[in-house]
Amino acid sequence: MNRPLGTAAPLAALVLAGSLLAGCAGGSNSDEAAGDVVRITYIADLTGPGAFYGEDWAAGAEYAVDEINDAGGIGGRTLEIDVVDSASDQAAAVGAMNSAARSDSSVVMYALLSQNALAMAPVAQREEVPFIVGQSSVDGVTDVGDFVYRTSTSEGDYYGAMLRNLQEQGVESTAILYAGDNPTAVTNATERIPAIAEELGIEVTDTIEVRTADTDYSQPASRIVEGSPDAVANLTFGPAVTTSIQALRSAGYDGPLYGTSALGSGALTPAGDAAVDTYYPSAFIPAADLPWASGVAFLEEYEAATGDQPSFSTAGGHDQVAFLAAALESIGEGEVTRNSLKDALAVVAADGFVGATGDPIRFGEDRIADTPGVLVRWDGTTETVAPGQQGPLLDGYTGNDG
Amino acid sequence: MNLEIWFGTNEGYIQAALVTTLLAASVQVALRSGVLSFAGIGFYGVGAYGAGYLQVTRGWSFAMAALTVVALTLVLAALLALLLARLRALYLAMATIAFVLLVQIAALSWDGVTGGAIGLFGIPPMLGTGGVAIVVVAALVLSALTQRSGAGRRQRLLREDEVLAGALGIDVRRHHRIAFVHSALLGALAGICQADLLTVFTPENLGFGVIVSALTALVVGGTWHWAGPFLGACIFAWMPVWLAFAGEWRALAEGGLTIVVLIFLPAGLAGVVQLAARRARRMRRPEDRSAFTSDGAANIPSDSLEVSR
Amino acid sequence: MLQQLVNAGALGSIYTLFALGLTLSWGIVNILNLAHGAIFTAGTVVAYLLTRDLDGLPLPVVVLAAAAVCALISMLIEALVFEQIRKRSRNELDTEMRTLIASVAAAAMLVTVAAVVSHHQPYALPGSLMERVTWEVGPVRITNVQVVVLVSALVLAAALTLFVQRSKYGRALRAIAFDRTAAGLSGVSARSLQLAAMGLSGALAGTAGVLLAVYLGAADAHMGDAYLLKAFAIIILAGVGSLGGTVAFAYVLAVVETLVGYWAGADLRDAVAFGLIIVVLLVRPQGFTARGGWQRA
Repeated sequence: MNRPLGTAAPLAALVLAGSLLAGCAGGSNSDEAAGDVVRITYIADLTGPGAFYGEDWAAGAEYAVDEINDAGGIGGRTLEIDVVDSASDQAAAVGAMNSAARSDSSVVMYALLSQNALAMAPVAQREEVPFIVGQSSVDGVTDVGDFVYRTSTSEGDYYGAMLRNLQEQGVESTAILYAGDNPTAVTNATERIPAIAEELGIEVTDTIEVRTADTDYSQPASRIVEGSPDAVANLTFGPAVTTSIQALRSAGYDGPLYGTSALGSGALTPAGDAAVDTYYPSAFIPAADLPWASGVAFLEEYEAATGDQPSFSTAGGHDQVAFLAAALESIGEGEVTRNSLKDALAVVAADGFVGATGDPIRFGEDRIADTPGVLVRWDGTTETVAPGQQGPLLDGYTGNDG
Repeated sequence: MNLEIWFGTNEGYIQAALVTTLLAASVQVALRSGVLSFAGIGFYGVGAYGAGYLQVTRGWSFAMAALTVVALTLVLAALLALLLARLRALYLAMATIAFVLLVQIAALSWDGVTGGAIGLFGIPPMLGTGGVAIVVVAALVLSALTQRSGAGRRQRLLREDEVLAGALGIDVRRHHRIAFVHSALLGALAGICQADLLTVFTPENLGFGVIVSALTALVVGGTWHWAGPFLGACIFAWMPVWLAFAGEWRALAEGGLTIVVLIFLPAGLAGVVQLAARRARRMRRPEDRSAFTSDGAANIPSDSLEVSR
Repeated sequence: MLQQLVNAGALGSIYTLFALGLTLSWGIVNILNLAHGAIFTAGTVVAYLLTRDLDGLPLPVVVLAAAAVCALISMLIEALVFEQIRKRSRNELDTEMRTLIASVAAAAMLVTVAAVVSHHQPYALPGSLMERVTWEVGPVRITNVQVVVLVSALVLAAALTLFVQRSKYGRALRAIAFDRTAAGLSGVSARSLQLAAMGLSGALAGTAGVLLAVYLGAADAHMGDAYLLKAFAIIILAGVGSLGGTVAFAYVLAVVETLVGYWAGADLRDAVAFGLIIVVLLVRPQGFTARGGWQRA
C-alpha cells in the first residue's frame, strides 16, 4: 500500500465512467408547456474573434424581446431571454446547446460561425428543441431536420444582381481573390461567381486562393494587377479584408471591389480611402433609403430607443425573435410546447412574417429564409445604398411594398 | 444536485473533456519515453476524417470504419516513426507540428474526401458520450498500468538517460517507435470520438491550436501522472464556465489562472491529488513514513515532492 | 516575376524582424517564448493608441515607444512568470514545457487586452505616419514602406550580430547561454543578463509589430499568431541562436512562399513550406548553421 493511488485509481475511473453512462441513459428531456413566460436561450459569441458581430446579434434579439414585452407580450405571455456566451468556440457552443436543451427554454437561437451552428443543429434536432439560426454560411445547417431554421439568405443568391449592377457600370472583366479556408468563399469563388460571370459575358481574369491567416497580400495583389481586371471580388474575412485591399491599391489597382457582407464597415473603416468604391450585398444597412419600409421603421425605432445605429447583425438578431413572435401569435392562447412551437414555425415559414430584413420574410422548403437584400456601396465613411439598384437583390423575391 | 440533471446540462462539456483527455494522453504517452511528438494531433485529423468519410460518403458501418481507421493509423504511424527516427526533442516537435499542419492542408484541399473548407457533416453518432467515456477509461487504465509496471520504469530511464538505458540493454529505438505509434493511436481514437460526438468535422477543428490545448491540458493536469490528462482536460472544459463572470476579460482570467497553476503546482493538479492522498495516509499511519518516502520518491517525479517542503 | 522578388524581399524582412527577437530569447535564455507573437501585437496596439490620441507623431518616435513598452512587457513576463517557474523546478524538460505553456497563457492574456481595446476589429495606423510613395522602376513597383522595412531589418540584424559578438554584454550573454554559472565571473549577474535579453527580444518584437502594421496598412489582435509558426520554422532550420542563419532562412522562406504561391496557389504554398521543413530536418537534424558556441541544444 505504499504506492500512492495504487490500483484504487483505475477502479475509481471505471466507477466514474459507469456513472457517466448512467447519467446519459437517463438524459431524455420532457417537453413541458411554457406558462406565462416563454423562455429563449440565445447563444452568442460575445467574446473571442466573433465578438464584434456576436454582441450585435444578441443586442438585436434583446431589443426585440423588450419591444414585445413593452407592448404587452403575445397571447398573454411575455418573453424572457437568457444570453449565453459561446466564446466563438465550438465546444462551448455545443455545451451551451446541450444545457439549453435540458433547460425549460422553449427555443434556442444562435448566429454567426457555421462550424458552431453545424455542430449545434444535430443536438437541437435530437433533443427536439426549435433552433433558429440567424446566420451560418453553410446551407447544410438546416438539413438535420424540421426543428432547425435559418433566418438569413445565402449570400451567393445576391451575387447575380450585384454583378449585373457592376456590369451596368461598365465592368467587363473580374479577378477573384478568396479565402480558401472559408466554405462560403470557396463556393462563391469557384462556382457561383464564375457561373454568373459566364452568363453575363464577364471575363474572369484570375481566381486566386489565399488563407484567412495570411497577412501579406502583395504577391496575390501583384498577380491580379497583371491581368488588369475591371473589378476585383474580395472574398476574404477579418483583418485580411483591410490588408488585402491595401495591398491591391499599393500594387496599382484602382477599380471597384466587391464581395461578401463581411466587408462591412468594421473591416473597411481602417482601410480608409483605399476601400472607397467597394460593393457588397447585405441583409440590412442603417440607411434611411433602404428599399423596404419595415427596415427603415426598425432603424428609426432602434435609434430612438437606444441611441445606437443598428448593424445588419442587430437587425438579424431582431428578426430571429420576430420569427418566434410570429409563431407565438399563430399559437395564440394555445399551449406553447417545443413541439407546438415547431409546428407554428412551419406555418409562419410558409406564410411569412415582417422583420427588419424584409417584408415579408418567407422560407423555402429547406427552411432557409428569403430576404430581399440590399446592394451596399462603401463611400469611405458610411454604408450607402448603391446607385442603380432596381428592386430586391434576391432574384425572384416579391415583397409587400418593394 | 441531481446527478442526472447535472450530466444532462453538462453533456457538451463532458464530451469536450473526454476528447481533450485522449489528445493530452496522446502527447503524454510519447513524452513518457522521452519522445516529444505531436503527431498524435495529426492522427486526430486522420481519425476524424477517416471515420467520417467511410461512414458518410461510403456508407460503412461504424465498427468497420473505426477498425479500418485504426489499422491505417498503425501502418502510417509505424512508417512515420521510421522516417522521423533520427530526430530528437524540439526538432522532432517541429517536424511533427509540420505534419499536423500538412494534415490540415490536406483537409482543406482534398475536397472529395474531407469536404474541403465546409468539412464533413451528418456523421452518425454511434458511440455517444457513454461509449467515448469507455474508450477514455480504457486508455487511462492502460496508461496507469504501464506506468506502474516494468515498462514504466524503463520509460523513465529512457527519458532521463538514454545512454544509460541503451547500456542497460534497453532497445531505445524500439521503445521510441512503440511510444510514437501508441501516441498516434490515441490521437486517432480521439478523432473518431470527436467526429462521433460532434457529428461534424471541419478544418477549423485542426491545427496548431489543438496542439496547444492538448499540451496545456497535459501540463496543467500533471505531465507525468496517468490521471494528468483527465484532470487537465476537465479544468479546460469547465474553466470558461467558471470564469464566465469575467465577461470579455474571461480569456485574461483563464491565462492568469493557468500561469498561477504552472508556477505554484510544479507537478500539476495530479501532484495536488497525490499530495493530499499522501498526507491523509501519513496521518493514519505515522510509523509508515520512512518506508513511504523512499519508495514514493522513486515512483513519482521529483518535482511533485517540492510542494510538500 | 521581378515584382514577386520585391514582394518576397519585404516579406522576408518582416520574418527577419520577427524571428530575430525569438531566436534571441530561445538561444540565450533558453525560453521558447510563444508570447512573442502577442508582444508583437502589443507593439501595434501601442502604436495605434498613441497615434489615435496624439496627431502627427513621427514614425521613429512611435517605433521607439512601442519598442520600450514591449521590452517592459517582455521583462515583466520573464520576472513574474518564467523566472518563478524556473525557481520552482529542477527537471529541465519539465521546466521547458511549463515555460512554453506559460508563454501561451501570457500570450492569451495580451491578445485579450488587444482584442478588447480594438473591439475585435482590425485597426489601422494613420497614413500620416508614413505617406506612401510608389516608385516605378521599369516593370517593378516599389513603395517607400517596403524600402524602410527592408533597411530596418538588415540594419537591426547587423547591429544585433555585432552587439552579441563584439560587445562586453554580448560576450556575457553568449557565456550564460553556454553556462549559466560562468556569467557570474564577468561581473554581471546571470539574472539581470537574462532579463536584459528578454527586454531586447521584446523591443525587437515591438519594432517589428509597428513596421508590419505600417507596411500592411492594418493590424488585428490575432495577427502575431500567423508569424509565430513561420518564425519557429525559420529558427529550427537555421539552428537555434544562429543570427546569420535566421536572417538567411527568413528570406529563403519568403522567396519560396512567394514563388510557389505565385505559380501554384495558397494550398501548395503552405504544403511546400511545411514539407520543406520536414525534409530539411531529415537531412540536417540540427539545422543548417548551428554551431557550438551559444547554442544550448
